[in-house]
Amino acid sequence: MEKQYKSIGEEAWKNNTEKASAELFIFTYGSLVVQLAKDYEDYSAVNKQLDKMGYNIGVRLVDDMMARTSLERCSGFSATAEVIAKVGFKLFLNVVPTVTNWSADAKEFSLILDDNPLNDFCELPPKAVADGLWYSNVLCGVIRGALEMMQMQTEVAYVRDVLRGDDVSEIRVKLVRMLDEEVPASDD
Amino acid sequence: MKLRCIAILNRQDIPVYMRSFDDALSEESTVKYQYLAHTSVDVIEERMANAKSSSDLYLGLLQTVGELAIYGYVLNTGARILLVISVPESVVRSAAVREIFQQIHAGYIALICNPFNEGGKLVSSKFDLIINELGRVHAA
Repeated sequence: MEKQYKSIGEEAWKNNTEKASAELFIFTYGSLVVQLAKDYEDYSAVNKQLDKMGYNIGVRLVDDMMARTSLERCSGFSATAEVIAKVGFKLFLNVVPTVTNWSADAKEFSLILDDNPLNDFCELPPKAVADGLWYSNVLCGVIRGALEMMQMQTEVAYVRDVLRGDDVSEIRVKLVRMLDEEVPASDD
Repeated sequence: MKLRCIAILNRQDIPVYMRSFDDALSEESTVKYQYLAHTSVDVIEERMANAKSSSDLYLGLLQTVGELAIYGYVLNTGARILLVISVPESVVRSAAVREIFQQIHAGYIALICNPFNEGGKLVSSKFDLIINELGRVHAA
């Protein structure tokens, strides 16, 4: 199953993506974070905003991903984790994080990112580090939004980041509950 | 070849980065190098006016003042990098100086690309590390 996801991801990356300039994307994201920092002046508020933005991106991105790859329903949460890492990240960022640190009840896992393209050239000022800015927090929002569209309510957060001096970047994903299909309230 | 100082000036000839590798009193040597940087600017302008093509960023030896030799390198954006070395006994290969400049240039690009970089002053620990490394290798 794992190999299958990996090859699906790579094939989709090769064939079904339009390449764009990485530098443009990185600089756009960088100016976005800096502008948010200037506007809010409080780095935890910036984190929340990045997460919200990521959420909005994620709910749309997951449909895009499903359209480009012909994936079926995941058999379980561990399959979901593999899909996020090997297909989702590969398709959009061309990096494949490692899935590790499964909790005992298999409801939590970590994504270890050795190489995050958003971080290229970026150096956090000391104040940002002291106030707890997670620079690529948008990724957490994207994962949360995408999983919610797939009927899973999750909590996603950064626990370690190379920009803050840790050796790797680590995102922790926790499944809170499965959302049952809810029939939208009718207009009667 | 003993590296003494690296200075970076912006397009308007305002120093944005100055690092000296002297063991001596920092205050005195900073002033001295700032003075040298300013005098070198005229030479840079002259060289650039006479340059046949602007494709070569390396300007070579600009001037010698006492026991110090100053080399210049211009970036396409107009920023200038100056390298001050103490005049050596043996001939300095321009390839070696060029290589040092290219390393500084690469570090400078990484610095500029940092989204948190405020225009004007260049403050970056990564860039400092690169310069320190150059200092360690060449100013020993």
